[in-house]
Amino acid sequence: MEYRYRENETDYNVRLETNDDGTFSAYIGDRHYEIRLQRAQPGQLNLWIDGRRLHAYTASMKSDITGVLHHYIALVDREARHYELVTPTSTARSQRPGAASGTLKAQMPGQVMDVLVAEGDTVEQGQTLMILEAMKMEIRVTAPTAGQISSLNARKGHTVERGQQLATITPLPE
Amino acid sequence: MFKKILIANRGEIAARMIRACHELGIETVAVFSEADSDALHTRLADEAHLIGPATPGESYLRGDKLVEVAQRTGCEAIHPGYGFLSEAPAFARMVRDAGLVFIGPPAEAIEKMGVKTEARAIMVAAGVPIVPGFQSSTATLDDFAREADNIGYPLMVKAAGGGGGKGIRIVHQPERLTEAIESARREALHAFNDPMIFLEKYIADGRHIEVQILADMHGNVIHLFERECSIQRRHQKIIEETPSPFLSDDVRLQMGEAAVNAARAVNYVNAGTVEFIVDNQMNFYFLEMNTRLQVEHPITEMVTGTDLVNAQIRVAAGQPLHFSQDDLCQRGHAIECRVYAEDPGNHFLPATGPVLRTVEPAGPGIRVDAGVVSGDQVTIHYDPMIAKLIVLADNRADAIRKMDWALAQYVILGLTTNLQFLRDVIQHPVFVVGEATTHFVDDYLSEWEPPETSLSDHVLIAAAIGEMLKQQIAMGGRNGGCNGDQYSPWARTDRFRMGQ
Repeated sequence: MEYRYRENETDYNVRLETNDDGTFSAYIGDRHYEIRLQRAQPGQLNLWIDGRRLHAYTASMKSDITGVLHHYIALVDREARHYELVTPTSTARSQRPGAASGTLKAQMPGQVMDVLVAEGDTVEQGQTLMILEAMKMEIRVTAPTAGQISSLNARKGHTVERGQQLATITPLPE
Repeated sequence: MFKKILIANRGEIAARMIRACHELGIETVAVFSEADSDALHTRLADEAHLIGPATPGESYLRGDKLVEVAQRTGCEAIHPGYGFLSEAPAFARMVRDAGLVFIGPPAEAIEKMGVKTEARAIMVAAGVPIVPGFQSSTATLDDFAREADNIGYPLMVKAAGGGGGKGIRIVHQPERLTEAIESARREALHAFNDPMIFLEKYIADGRHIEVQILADMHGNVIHLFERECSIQRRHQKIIEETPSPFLSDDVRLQMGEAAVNAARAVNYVNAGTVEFIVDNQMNFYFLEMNTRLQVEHPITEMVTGTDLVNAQIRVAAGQPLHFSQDDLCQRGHAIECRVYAEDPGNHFLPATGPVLRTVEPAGPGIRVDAGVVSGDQVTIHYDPMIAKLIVLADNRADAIRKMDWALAQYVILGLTTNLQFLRDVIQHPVFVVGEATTHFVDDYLSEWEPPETSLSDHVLIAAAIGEMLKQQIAMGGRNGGCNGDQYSPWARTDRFRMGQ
């Protein structure tokens, strides 16, 4: 069985094979691991990987908005950490952040309390464009760059999702 | 004693109150908004009633609806918890006028302490030191600017009706004052329905230390020592501990006495907290009194061996305090970490979404007060706190070690949380030696990012095995159902075995 994951724009491939004695072999790149499940139930794993203990919790969910499958893994040991991976898809690739500069996205879900600019306005870098509110906190959304507001997608009173586009700023020629 | 209590709150504190009631054999009635129809508190209470839409102003802040549900369901008392209506004198009065008991102080005491400006005046009269500042309901922006120059910068703009870090601005330069006042007013109006603000000198390197008090209807007022809450982000506490690693025994006693005096000055009854800011010379100044249960009350319970919610209910039922000042001492050291759905690597912006799975740490001296467990949602409507993790150990060093272990064991899948950030705080050398002030996060961790590590193959293997097991469940297994459990991935007769 092949499993593909992506984290920080890097893709990984894991191949799992079942052995005759009930153990598994895992292949990642040119590396090979022998895995024994000591006790495993969905979402909770006690594994031995090449004789080293691994205790992990896992869960996964498909995003309603993007359709991307997200995998959450927590390792519970001395260096306990939480990780988030996604199953790479062509849409996931095209929707990665780092879109056109000057595109302003909501950093948090919330409600638009006020919009202080209009389409066509010229703004300075750092100028407050709108005010979002969530959990009774005000977050000022400021212009990442100087330029002209070429599109404005937020309206007062609207609820926005994290990552939703709020405005686009086109830099003005010098 | 009461037979039935309405729990006028949500989240972890509602769960905490319901538990205390059930221990006392008291039935509970929960209320919920449309966004909370399946929330934890609605599942724990004996009854749960819908009171309105998600917006707090149309549900949890609707005192009339709460009283109506309480009367309809035969409740004798209402416990407001913290936040929402806990410090609204009008609500306390409304409850009393309806012939019900408000589990908290008298409306008059809330009123006096609730307006921060009035509270400052009462403290001066009671001989409790206050932070230099300026307050006036008629002052113009020019008046504020002039007074601000007298107080000196940096200073704080604070909402008179505020709390919970809302409506607070620190101003470093005069040019920023007007903007800060307007923004604080807007936030205060929205959060507390009261745009009044006041100015207060900003005490650099201050420590936030508060004293828990408890008073009954028979004139007994006692304090349950201090809590140090200096670790804050966005003016909200994230880590609290007791005893304070900073205070001397002398000052600890003086602060306890000052807190008792403050409570007596307003004829206080029930649990309350007197907050002080303590400068690096160990001078302490009254900040405000929180006329309600505090979020961080469990650390006091841990070191004093008390149950404050239990005590609140008994006091409200008219019983005298069942312990005296002499019965109390601080045994060991307790720390609380507030676990939030938020991104500490990105200005602590709140995260929302479903919580796919939580696994809470457990063991001697470990307590988890959670409001969100596996399958629950964190929504944009309410505070993104998931749980409070509290530990008790013999001494501070052991408490830090225990907290680190407990944080490492805490699993929360599906959301970004501050678990790793909290571990980094309690392991930070400045925190470890007990020298963190309210600046700590800004000074040492403002550029915090999750530890940069390359993804280990172990993580990928765990992900793949986890996904494989999930797929096998989805398929029901090739011979699923043969042992009566068609959902078990182990009900298979092929080579796939476990427990070798």
